[in-house]
Amino acid sequence: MIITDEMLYENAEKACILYLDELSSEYEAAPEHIFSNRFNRHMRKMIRQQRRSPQMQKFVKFCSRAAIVVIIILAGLLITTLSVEAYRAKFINFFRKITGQSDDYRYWGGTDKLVDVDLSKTIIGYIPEGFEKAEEDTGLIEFQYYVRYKNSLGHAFNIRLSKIDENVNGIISLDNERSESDDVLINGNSGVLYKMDSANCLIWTNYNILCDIYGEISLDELMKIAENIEFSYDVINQEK
Amino acid sequence: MMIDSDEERSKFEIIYNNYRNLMFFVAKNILNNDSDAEDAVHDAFLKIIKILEKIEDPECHKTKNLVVIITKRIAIDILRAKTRHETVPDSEGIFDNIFRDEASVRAMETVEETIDIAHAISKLPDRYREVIFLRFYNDYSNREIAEILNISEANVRKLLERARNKLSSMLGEDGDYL
Repeated sequence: MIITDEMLYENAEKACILYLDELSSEYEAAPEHIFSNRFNRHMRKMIRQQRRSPQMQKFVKFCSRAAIVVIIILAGLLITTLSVEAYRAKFINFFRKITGQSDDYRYWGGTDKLVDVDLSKTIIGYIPEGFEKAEEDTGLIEFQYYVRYKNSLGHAFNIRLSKIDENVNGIISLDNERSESDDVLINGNSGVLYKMDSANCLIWTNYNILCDIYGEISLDELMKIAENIEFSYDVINQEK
Repeated sequence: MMIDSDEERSKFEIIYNNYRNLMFFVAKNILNNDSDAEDAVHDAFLKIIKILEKIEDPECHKTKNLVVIITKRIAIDILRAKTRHETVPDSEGIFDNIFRDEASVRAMETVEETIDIAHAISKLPDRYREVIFLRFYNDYSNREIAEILNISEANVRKLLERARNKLSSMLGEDGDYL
């Protein structure tokens, strides 16, 4: 029997439904699976990454790179001035390696933990008008809190708070040719404000918490948000 | 690879909510391991995101068919990697029939009455049935099928040809399902 395309087009739908019905009857008889926390975390992360616009994805990537710049600057203060901020910065360590056209940095937590912080209890005291919480993740990784806000125009910004301790480290390559930066103070803590074409980023530290806000909002709004973040932490060895 | 619009986001959420348990069931049947099956489901969603724009109605049979095929192929790839069966033939290897339970195979062998072409297609070996469904039901081109199944276009053409031959032999000269 010759099987023509017309025959296949005519019968494929019925065949598919027959097959899916058979599969469904087996599936419905099986016990329901409870997906693991690991799976749910991975899916949340995947969905979150997919929700970002391509422009925002580039910016997030940049901010990951840029974050280390702030840390390097603070480390420099430790060596030169021994200011309060520099004292705090000793709880984050750095190693810099220049290779070709990029600067590669490694960061890791110090042996002394200055604060014991529950990032999930952080209060974001100021949100620009028109923005609403679009996503929040306190359990993606236990040392990080992430929240994303969005307005009706599709503009968004993200706040990420990372607790750096002896168990947290990373290596980041820096490309600093695409931005301009200014040193700023956030409630007495040193930070750096990055200006880009379509989005802005603010990075600072508060004790051993590395904070960054990035998104399509003005520099003034970025600063105001940062100044109104309230952490829930206990200072456990400030006397050191 | 992006979910660019609210429409696509909604589409993805419907697929996720409607099919993740079915996808797990399909993967678990192949991998026989919860953790590996969840990995397969996760990877299948990554694949689905890549072709989300090709999906018109997330709740129709075409989409259900597509997610089942994608999940099954990814699960088989994971199984291949785990068992290091690197020399298994791509089109007719032992993995292609893993999911077919004994009952359906027996049904294919024992039916003696004349059955229409649709029944014959539904009883084809997995690999053949999948390309027939994707080509003649989902209306994908050979290139698109190659992308979905992670195989070459030449392999798609070969599978379609073999599927026709298999159907011919199943239906016999008189159109009977032998």
